[in-house]
Amino acid sequence: MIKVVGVIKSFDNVKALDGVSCKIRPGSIYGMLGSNGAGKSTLLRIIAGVMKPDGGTVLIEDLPVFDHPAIKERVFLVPDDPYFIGQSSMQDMARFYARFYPAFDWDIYHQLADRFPIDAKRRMNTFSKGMVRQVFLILAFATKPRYLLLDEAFDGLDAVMRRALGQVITEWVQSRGLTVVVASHNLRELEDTCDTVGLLHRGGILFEKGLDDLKDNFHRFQFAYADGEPPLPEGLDVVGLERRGRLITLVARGDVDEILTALRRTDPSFLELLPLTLEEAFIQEMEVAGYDANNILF
Amino acid sequence: MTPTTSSSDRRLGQMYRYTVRQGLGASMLVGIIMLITFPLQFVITWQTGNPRYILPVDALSFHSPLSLLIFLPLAMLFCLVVTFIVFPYFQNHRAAILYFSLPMRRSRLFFAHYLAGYTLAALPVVICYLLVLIANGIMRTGVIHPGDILADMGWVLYTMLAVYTIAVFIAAATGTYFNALLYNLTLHLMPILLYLEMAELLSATLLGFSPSAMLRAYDLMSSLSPFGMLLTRLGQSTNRMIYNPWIPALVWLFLIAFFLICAHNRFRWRRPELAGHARTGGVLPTLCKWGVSIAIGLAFGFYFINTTQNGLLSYLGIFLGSSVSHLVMDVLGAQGFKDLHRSVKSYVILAACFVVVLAVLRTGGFGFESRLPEAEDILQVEIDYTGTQAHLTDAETVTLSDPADIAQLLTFHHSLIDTLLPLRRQVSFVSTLGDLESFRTDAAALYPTITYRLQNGHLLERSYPVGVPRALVSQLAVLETSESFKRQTYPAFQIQPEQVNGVRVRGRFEMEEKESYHFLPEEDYAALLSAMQADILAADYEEIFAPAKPPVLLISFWYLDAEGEQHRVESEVYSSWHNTLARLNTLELAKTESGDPSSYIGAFLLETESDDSYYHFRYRSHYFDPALTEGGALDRYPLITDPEEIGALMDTAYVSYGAEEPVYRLLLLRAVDAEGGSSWYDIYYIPKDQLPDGFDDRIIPYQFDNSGTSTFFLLPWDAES
Repeated sequence: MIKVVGVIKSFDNVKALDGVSCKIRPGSIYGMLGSNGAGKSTLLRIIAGVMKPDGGTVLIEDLPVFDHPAIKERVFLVPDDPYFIGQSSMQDMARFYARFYPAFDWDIYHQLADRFPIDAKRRMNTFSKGMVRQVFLILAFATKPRYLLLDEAFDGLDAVMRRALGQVITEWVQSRGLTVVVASHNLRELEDTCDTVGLLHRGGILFEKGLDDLKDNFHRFQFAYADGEPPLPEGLDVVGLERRGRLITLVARGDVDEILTALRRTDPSFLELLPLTLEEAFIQEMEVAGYDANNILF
Repeated sequence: MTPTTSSSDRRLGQMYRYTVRQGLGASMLVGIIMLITFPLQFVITWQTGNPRYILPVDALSFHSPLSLLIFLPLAMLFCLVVTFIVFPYFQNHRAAILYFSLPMRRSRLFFAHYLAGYTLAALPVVICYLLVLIANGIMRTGVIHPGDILADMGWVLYTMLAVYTIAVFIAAATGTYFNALLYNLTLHLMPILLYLEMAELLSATLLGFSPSAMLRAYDLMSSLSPFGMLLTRLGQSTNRMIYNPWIPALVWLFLIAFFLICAHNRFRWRRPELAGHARTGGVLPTLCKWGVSIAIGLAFGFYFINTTQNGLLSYLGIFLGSSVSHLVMDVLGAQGFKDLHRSVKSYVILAACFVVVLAVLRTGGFGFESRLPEAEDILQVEIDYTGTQAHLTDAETVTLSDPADIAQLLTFHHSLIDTLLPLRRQVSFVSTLGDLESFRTDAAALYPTITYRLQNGHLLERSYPVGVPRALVSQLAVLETSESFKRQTYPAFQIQPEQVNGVRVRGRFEMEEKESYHFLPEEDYAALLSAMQADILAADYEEIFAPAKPPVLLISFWYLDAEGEQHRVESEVYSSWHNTLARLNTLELAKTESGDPSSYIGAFLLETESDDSYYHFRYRSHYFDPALTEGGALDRYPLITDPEEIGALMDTAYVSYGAEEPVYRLLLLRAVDAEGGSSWYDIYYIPKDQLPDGFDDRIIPYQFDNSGTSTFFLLPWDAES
């Protein structure tokens, strides 16, 4: 488990993290959402032991990370802009990491190198941004980490690569108990992979929720009446209501069956339950919490 | 699970080997250049040089000029460059993320890179020296001991270790390449530069301060910078500097450890986000900026001193130079003007410190200018000067141990201070000592350095580049009559008979060196020197400082010093030196006073309109070619032709040195060519107060042409005006 307790980090006069706390369960895929400058990369780097927080603690398996090689052997950070050494190729970087990660597995490396076709002997300074990310993802898995930290890892990857990466992540989580933390500013990227989402805003976690809980909490209904429009059933926790002519779209929070039953009693000529995207559910959640999503996400 | 020591050590070794392999290409490239400039040059130099002239190896002669100019500087410079190669995360925050995320303790990461960097820097140097060692053995010149080669290598590697460690510390403390380079230059070069500049500043403002004491402190100077340590050691044998190289070596051992510990501590807690970012605050940047600002400011100040001789302008130059350099460094270091407001506070503090230092210096440096030891505390005094009569061709160091002599010197010293200090205050509070000289008309060409050796073993030295007031000269002159002084300054006491290699005697008027040297048995030299010593010791104050007549003879001795080098000393002989004249007669070396007045066509007696005492001591040629005007010089100027009158003038005339200013110039015309275009004269000098009667109306005013040649021009002289 990763425990982040009251972490504070400042850069000159700017407070990047202001008392952040969260718990990331083992075997989960945690999506860290936030706009640019929210503190996602900073938090990931602190979890990876790259920098020390100014306040608070970060524990992995109840041990501090910073300057602790035994813990850091189990953690791998893929930064948003990975650095490679000099004129090295993927093969050179693999040899580099193999020296310092005792669990480095050449079989896994070769398997993934075949699966994500990259010329292992070609110099990385000739690669595109996406290819460099691919290389570091391959290297990350080859070190057999228990904790994988991905900073904007899907950026620059094509749809096929994203899907493939998502599959690998899912496989490893299920088979090896890998814990993944993915930082992104794009909710759609996280929707297919994560099981928990936390929103980072102005150095703090705004809220944290399981994706299923997020989706299950809100429901969208579309219905229409042949004659007139009776009042809405009482007791509904209506979050959003939109009318387009005679078509009514209702977003309500609560048990879906109860809401359906209540609406049927009003005898609509047409009633349909529509799927709510994660983004829509997320926005609704935030508005309930009193935040304008447009000011936080884009 | 805790990491085992073996796995940690393994990772340190892995990182070390990996880093060395990564940097090997750059190291070998530098090595090729080193190979050409050192081992190859060594083989060429020693192969083609004549073994007879190859001296026993010393630090400087061991290297060829090319290896001094290229190999050694390249070795030092590569120490700075290799820092950037092995510590990329100091300037690149992306690299910082990669390296700091590795499962490796930061300390071990640091030391792995530190050792790898030094290995890369030292490797090509070691290879070069080994090649030289092999070449030396093959060539069998027989003059270079392999131990000397290895010792030289050791010093170079040690200096490189110091340079490299400082560079690592700076890299750990800064965030950009520019700042790292700037601070490296500052820490390596500024201490020595500032030391030399401070010596210059103190000597320009503090009366009595002797820069030579600071400049002779080779131990201290070579401890200020690794380059200083190496350069001082290289120049030691050549310049015969007296210093112990192990002192700076020990100092730097301590400093290497200090900088290494500081670098390690900075690294352990270093924030990776600092990489690539310039910061204007912090102790190191501020100190480096101050150092560079002070150095450049002082350089400006010295430029103004040398060009304007004005103290106020020189101080303004210091402020101008330091403020401009401070501003430029802040703008460049912070990559813009955004943090400029922070540097204003820093500069104000620096300027305030300078004002305080200036005030301290101008008010006497806490009593430095006026404080002298008590007579009873003084064991010995050394005074270093050319003598009141400038009869010593070079500054001599005379040691006085007699309490009476010491008391006399102290009296003189107090008088000197009491005279000069008020004068300086009168000129201006912001004046330099150079300004003082421009306001004085009473200075003799006398610049003593006085060193008191105290009973407690301490030394107190005072040096006066400003001339001693003429009124005080007589106080020093009294000392020159003491036996101790005579024995230390007169050549007759300084050479031993067994050293003498020849003697020559010339009459006073024998300007051309027609006489050759006489080679006598040693006992004759001994007898002659003994006679001269007796006459010198018997000479009183009047005879030394106000002789009735000029010297009659000039004796020159050639002698060999302890190292076998040949030297020449000259001594005047006066008519009162009976012992010497008698001995010369016995040796048949005595000359009658030559210079027959009747052998000259005539004589001119000249008086300059300005003080050309400088030319008095410089002008030795007896040939000149006057610019002839219409009618010719011989027609226009009063020529003295009576042999008796010429003889009377010759009787009081001196050769170029020895005559007390002010003087008339006596030109004895020897010949004129057939067409009257050129003339040949012998030139002598007559002190004005010794001019015989009857010549006042025959003195010609003239003016020197300051063209730096031996030519001078005569003004037309109008007898009617």
